Amino acid sequence: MAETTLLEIHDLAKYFEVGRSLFKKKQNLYAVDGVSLYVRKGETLALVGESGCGKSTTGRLILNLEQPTAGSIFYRGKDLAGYSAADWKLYRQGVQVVFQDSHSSLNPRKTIRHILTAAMFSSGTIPRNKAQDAEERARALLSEVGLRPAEVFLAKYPNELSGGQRQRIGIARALSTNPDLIVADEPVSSLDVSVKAQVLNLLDTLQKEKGVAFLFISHELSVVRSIADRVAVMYLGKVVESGPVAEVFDAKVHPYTEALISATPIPDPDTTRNKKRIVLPGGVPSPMDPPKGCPFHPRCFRAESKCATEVPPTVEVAPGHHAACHFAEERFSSYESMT
Amino acid sequence: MNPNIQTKADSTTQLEPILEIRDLITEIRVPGRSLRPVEIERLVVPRGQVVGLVGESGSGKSMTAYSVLNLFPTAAASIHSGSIVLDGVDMVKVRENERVKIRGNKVGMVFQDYALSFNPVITIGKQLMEQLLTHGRHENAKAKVLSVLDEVGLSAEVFSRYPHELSGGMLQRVGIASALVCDPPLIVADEPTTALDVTVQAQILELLKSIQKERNLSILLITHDLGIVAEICDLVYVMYVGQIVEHGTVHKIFKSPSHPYTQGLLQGASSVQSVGTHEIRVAIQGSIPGLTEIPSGCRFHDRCPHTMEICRLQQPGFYEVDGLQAACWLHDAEHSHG
Ligand SMILES: Nc1ncnc2c1ncn2[C@@H]1O[C@H](COP(=O)(O)OP(=O)(O)OP(=O)(O)O)[C@@H](O)[C@H]1O
Ligand code: SF4
Ligand code: SF4
Ligand SMILES: [Mg+2]
Repeated sequence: MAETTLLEIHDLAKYFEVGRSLFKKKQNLYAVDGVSLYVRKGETLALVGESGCGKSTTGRLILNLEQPTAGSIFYRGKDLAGYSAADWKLYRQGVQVVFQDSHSSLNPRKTIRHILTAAMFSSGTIPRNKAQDAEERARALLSEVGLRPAEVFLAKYPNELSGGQRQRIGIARALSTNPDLIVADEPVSSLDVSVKAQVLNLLDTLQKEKGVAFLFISHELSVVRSIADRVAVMYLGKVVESGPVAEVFDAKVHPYTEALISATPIPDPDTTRNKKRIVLPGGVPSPMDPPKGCPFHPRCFRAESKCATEVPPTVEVAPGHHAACHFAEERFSSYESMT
Repeated sequence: MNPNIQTKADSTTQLEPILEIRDLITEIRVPGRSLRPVEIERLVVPRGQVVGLVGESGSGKSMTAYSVLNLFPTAAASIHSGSIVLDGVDMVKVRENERVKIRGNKVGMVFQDYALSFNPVITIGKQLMEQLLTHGRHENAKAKVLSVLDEVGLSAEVFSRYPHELSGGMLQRVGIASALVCDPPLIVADEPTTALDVTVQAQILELLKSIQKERNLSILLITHDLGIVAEICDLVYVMYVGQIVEHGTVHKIFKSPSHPYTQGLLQGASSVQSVGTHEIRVAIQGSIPGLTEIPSGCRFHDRCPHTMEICRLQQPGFYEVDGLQAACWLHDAEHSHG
């Protein structure tokens, strides 16, 4: 594992057992099905895909909120499976989370002061007998996330704040333990356009100042393009393409990546009306019964006969750029010859 | 600029509009007071055009949609004053029994989330037939329903299916079918693709575009997504805290917006095409105020980067700026200092 790698996951899988009833046989739902990823120190890796593709489950596995069916997770080079109590304490401080909806993840009956200091105490970042230190740290965090004057916000309750302000509290709480990795699951998806830009700017600034890495889970490709260093595109529990964000979005080696980008409207009438749009047929198949061969083949506009029977291998088309498609290498070389 | 769109706009502005809203005030009664989520001076949907109504959450977009039908999801909301002329009939003045006929026959509504709005124990076909019958259309109801299902890309089997048997994208197609089944000239679509995945959203947008062309439909499309506006609208109205702040053709709005709020929205919007990662985005400061704390004067003055003395005191009227209409003091000769 490279010196700069913070988190690494190998062949991670999570199957849920569903539909167990008197007459029906229980069935597996393949929520995450063999995902390998890494996050380097101080970078943003975006996990992008449509609903149900397994992005959130991957995040929850990393946060230890869900136990994997198979595969392993390494944080700072050590497998979570072999963690001691002391390792878990470091993990809880080092890996934090920001949810989409801070409305439901912040206790409505507690003040912001309580919410922030409780996070420091329970993670052991600040001992419980150092209440003054915790209060000062809470104040500093509020200023950092742009909630000033801090005194005013310390005394407030979550429902007295706007959506954007609550999301800033969620970020301050995550920062309170001095993490080096924050898993952010759709952190700006429910925010309005103008507030979304503010919060994205804040995340960029915090990363620059503190060197914290983000696993940024999102279904919004336009947001991902502007905030991520690298991106992993998921479909039916698998990563179909991953690599540096600009290269992945420009080369579009995997047909699913190409379709996602093509489907995303661009806020410019001339560009968006003149681009050719790929419209995929149907919807995403059920993760209980994923297609044989390439999981994307029933909807793929580039599929050939072998796609229905042979699972495409994941190949490295360029340094750090992987794709799982039978024609990945051809596609990448035709992109290269065009540029 | 796309020449096709230009011609279309020019040729239709001569016709009587399918929808014209004037001096509309919609109110919601809450204990002890009444709030005004909508105060629209004028909004026009010309025949055969797609008009976008864009704004952030809480700006009053959905309340405007309900006002057009004069049908609200809560008894606390009602139209206070103004006129809403729909194909020659004022929806505010006309009696309720007339209105029932007009809804459906003159305007169809498409909502965001159909998972909740269909009756779960009645087949899709029955629910669509019911629509026809309540609007006084008894002949060949079944054939009509089958043909509209076909038009939205659904096979005849869907007729006998129940809502839970359909995917989100299919349900949205049924929603569009239900809006179209009485052949209204106008569709009001409130965030029709917001609940959908992006690849399914693309299918629905393509469907709306082709039906619009086939039927020469007029559409009032309500959305917060500037990409969708750029994609399918001819004209755009930008809404902020219940009021229209700017309107004009889609090309002018995107190329040279004249209102600071529109400018801020466009600069803050991310794009899949953006080149720089981690580039600081231009963001409007603060957030949209609630209806109980509406600022004096220009409602945008506490967030605007160009606020002047007058902005706090007096509400600006509309000024024509390069073919756009913008409600902003910057365009008043006396107050702008260029
Ligand atoms: N506890 C559970 N029991 C059964 N199925 C589950 C459970 N949690 C998740 N799933 C299923 O696993 C699949 C992946 O879910 P996940 O929440 O990871 O998707 P996602 O990519 O985050 O989607 P979204 O964009 O909608 O948030 C989905 O089909 C989901 O319904
Ligand atoms: S392997 Fe075949 S079906 Fe799968 S993405 Fe590539 S071309 Fe399409
Ligand atoms: S009227 Fe004044 S405050 Fe309002 S948008 Fe124009 S410059 Fe800004
Ligand atoms: Mg999710």
